[in-house]
Amino acid sequence: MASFSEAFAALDEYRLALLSEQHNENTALAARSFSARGGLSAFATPLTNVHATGVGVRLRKGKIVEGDFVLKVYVFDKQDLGKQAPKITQGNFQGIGIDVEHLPVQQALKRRVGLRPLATTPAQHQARRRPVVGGLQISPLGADFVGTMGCLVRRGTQLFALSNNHVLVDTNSLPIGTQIVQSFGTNPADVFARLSEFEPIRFPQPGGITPRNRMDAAIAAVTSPTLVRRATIFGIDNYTPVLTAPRPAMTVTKSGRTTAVTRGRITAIRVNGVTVNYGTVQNPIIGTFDNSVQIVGAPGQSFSRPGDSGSAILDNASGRPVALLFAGDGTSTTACDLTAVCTRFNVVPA
Amino acid sequence: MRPKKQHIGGEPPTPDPPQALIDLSERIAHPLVKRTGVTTTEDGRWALYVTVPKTTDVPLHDLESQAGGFPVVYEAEPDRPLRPLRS
Repeated sequence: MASFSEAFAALDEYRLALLSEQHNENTALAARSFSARGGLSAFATPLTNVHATGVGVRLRKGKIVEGDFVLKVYVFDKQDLGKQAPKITQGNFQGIGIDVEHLPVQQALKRRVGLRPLATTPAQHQARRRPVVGGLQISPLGADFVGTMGCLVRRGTQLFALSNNHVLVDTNSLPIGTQIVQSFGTNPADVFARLSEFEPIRFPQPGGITPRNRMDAAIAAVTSPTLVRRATIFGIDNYTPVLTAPRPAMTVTKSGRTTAVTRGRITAIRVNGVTVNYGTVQNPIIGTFDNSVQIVGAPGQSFSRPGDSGSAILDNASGRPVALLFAGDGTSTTACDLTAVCTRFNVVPA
Repeated sequence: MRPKKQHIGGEPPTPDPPQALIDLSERIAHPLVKRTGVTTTEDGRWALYVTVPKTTDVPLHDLESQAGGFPVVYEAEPDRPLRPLRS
């Protein structure tokens, strides 16, 4: 029986050996196939049926053998190949047992979600577009930074662009009336909204208590309704501008300037005490947030990256908005509860 | 046992968490706990969410005794501070 660390130590070398065998098999097959069939089948040989490897606990007749760690070989389609079975998938490798396990195609595709073609590309979210819709790059006129417009909101008939304070107001810095452009730059012809209201982000003062924030949010009044399109978020086809509450395990989607359309899962809600550094590593300026929503990307995929701030986060099933993205660390994403944001500004999604 | 690096809970049994759990998440205090919140266990029970330093031995018995019978999910504090995500 091998321990986890023993099996793990053998994994890299096993993968190299397996790749080498697969390469040899493909080369031989290609020589045959191109003359015979004019192409290659995905599962033409036993080793092209292998799509992943790893370390796991041995399974014997469907039951776990406690403490016996083995090299796992995952195949799309498990068949008893008898003597045809490749040697590298049988017995053991450097004394570590080998288990061949069926992992269906559907699961394999889920694991590779980051590789699947996106409906939209980041470049499309960053380009100038009219009408302006949620999910596109925006910036204050002449600023040297960008973020994302989450969605439109309205108070009566007046429409507003919703994003973060640190995107529309440069963290409490810009005056009300600041012109907002889509997508970026100094051209006044790109202005589509003017900063209207924001929730100040409060930072600790020397000797004072740590103030608690509940959102990083601001709205900008749309200058002409003809410049925007309601009920639309770029790259998302089921957007429904009606608020709903976030809940743990909810699968969510967002459309943002940097990572385009991504999916993730809510891991926690009503999270208090989240600290965000609005300064630099050398000179940190820490804001503390309550009532936030935590999200993690789908396997193999970052839910957000810099530039996605301001994205509206939607319940994937209903297309209804639940949160406003504002911070992250590369692994997890933090968002404000959108119902709290809309209540603060007395608006509803539009 | 160490806290989880990334917890992913199961589908909750009700749309909204119990009010007692919300109240608990807002008032609970412990010197090792940085964040508190609401989550679900892997099998979908409503639970108290806390983050603690990644080297902490969990469960924290004095925290669990304040939890009023709700399960507690411990997650490791992130290695890096969060950053606003503009570019």
